[in-house]
Amino acid sequence: MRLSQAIHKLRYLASLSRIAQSLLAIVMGFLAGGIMLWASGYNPLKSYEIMFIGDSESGVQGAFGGYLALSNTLREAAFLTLTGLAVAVSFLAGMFNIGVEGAMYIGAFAAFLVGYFISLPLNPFTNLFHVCLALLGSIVAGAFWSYIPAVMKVKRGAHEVVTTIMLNYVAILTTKMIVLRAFLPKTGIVPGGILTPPISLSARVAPIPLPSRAELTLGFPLAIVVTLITYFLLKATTLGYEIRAVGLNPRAAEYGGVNVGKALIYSMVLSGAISGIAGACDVLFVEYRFNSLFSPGYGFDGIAVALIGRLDPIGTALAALFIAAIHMGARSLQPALGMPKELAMAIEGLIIIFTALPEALNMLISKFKGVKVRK
Amino acid sequence: MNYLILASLLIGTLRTSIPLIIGAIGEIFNERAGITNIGIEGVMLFGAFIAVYGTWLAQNPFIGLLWALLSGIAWGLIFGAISTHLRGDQIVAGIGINVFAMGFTEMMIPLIWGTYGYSESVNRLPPLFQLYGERISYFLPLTVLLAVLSSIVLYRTKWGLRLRSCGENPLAADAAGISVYKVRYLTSVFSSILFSLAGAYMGIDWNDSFVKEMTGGRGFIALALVIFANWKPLLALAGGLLFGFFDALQFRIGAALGVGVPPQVPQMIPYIATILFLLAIGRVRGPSAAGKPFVKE
Repeated sequence: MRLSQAIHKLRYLASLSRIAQSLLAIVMGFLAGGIMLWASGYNPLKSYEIMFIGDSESGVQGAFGGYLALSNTLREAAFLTLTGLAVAVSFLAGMFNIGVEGAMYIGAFAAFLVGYFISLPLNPFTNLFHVCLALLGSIVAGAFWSYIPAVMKVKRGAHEVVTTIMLNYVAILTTKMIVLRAFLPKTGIVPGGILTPPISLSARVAPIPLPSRAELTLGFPLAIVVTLITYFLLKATTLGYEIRAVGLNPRAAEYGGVNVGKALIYSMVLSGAISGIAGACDVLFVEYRFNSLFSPGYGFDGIAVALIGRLDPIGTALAALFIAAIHMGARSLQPALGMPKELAMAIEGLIIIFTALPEALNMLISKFKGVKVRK
Repeated sequence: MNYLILASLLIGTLRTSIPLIIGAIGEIFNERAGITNIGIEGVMLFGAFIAVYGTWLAQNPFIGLLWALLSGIAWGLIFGAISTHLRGDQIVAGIGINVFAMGFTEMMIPLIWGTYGYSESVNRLPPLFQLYGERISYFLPLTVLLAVLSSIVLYRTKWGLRLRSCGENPLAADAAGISVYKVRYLTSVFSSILFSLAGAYMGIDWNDSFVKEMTGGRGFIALALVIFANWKPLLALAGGLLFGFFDALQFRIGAALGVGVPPQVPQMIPYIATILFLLAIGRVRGPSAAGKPFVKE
């Protein structure tokens, strides 16, 4: 009894220090970002205030500065939660999957095909049916796309970092090519990318209206549901246990009777399925069409999100909210100060680098603790 | 196919293979010394940016080259610390470097030049000579020299032996009196200088400006080339020409295939070829201790 209590206490402390590590990585990222802002001639504190709250002079809303800004932040958080989860389930198995971006494009394109080529008479039942069908299409397509590098890794030992990056380029170029060939005469090119014609009315879900012109897209509740399902899959099923065991120590897992190759493939299929849903969210809930450049790099942001969330589904969802706030904040910096929004990506990169240094962060944390004890 | 197209394809192959070979040789040194840096793409992109910026400020491409050299040293020291004293997760840190470089360079373009996505044109490095109206770069003979010298240093000198022992069995190397950390710091600085100069080549020699994400995954293709070359510099030289051929093909095959083929098909060639190469090679064993932090008892 005492032993198990001690173990519980240890686990609690370990999880606390992991949260402390993530928070410290974020603080370090922001410090370094502040230095970049300062070096570019901006006041870092003022800039961060504009990012998160807003600027009263120019009337720009920060990420949490009002209903409209908040609803934009939540829409962004939905994408980042999904791509973060997709990265987390593959990283948990030890697969360094950089291919979420590509699987997302394939998933979005599949959702578009189901939404465009099927047209149902409009009523709530057919609407629900059609949307579920399109989601299913994106899940299957995304899962298939991520299955490819997984099999290459298991059967031929092909380095997944290289193959997934290469497949990203292939996915983005292939979808662009098909859109150009088959749909361009009917639509046109906008600065953001090449657009297809819109999907059927029965495959669209309108956002829920909120006060002051704000609206909540279905992506956010869907992302929460996927988070809970992923949490359940990882923590309460044999498959989830096997995935985590393989990630911790593949050799030990193999001696323990786990089929390592199978666990790797399942983790990637799961990752691809979630990436596919992320892509479908843009087509079914936001743009109602496929845009050949719809993602501003959500798949890569997912890496930062998953790592800040320490590969835990709930942590990932919280981290997604935070990174979404940085994104929307950086977007309000552009009109308010003229600081390009790519600042967000630079800060994210720094946060990823700092999360790669748990031991260094632990040393810092224990130093802070040491100061307290002496007092 | 007429001779002019063939000549242009060959010159194009030489031109595109340069950053791949330099990047791969840098990573071969890294992994032979026990470091895995997948941030090649990021350091390259940063090198291209800083070289163009330095050239633009000083109106002199050699100053730009010097800036890229300094940037390489800085990244090498940072990654050296991550892979030694800080005992970091090298794969995650490498991903972080790539994301940072992508965001930072794209952020700096409008702050410096006031345009989005591309910089102003700058002076290029002078070419070695012109052939059929195409530039032949100084980087070409230097890359061949680099491959030959690297092979000699790694396999025929005591420094090479020491370096390789740090990547195969750092504990034994330490017992033999080699400072594993010192070797890894020096190697990391040397390889990051190579990555950065490969980027500078793309910015101020092959091209004359900085374009966002202009490295286009070549840092990752170099990573594949390391595996393809079985961690040997001379094989990286040969393999780099092969990979470079497929990279060059994308710019020239469009005309040969005719109007009916969408431009995205040739654009995909280098990426698909890289995957096929990896599949053909199959499972290989690199240096045992690559990517693992070394903890001295």
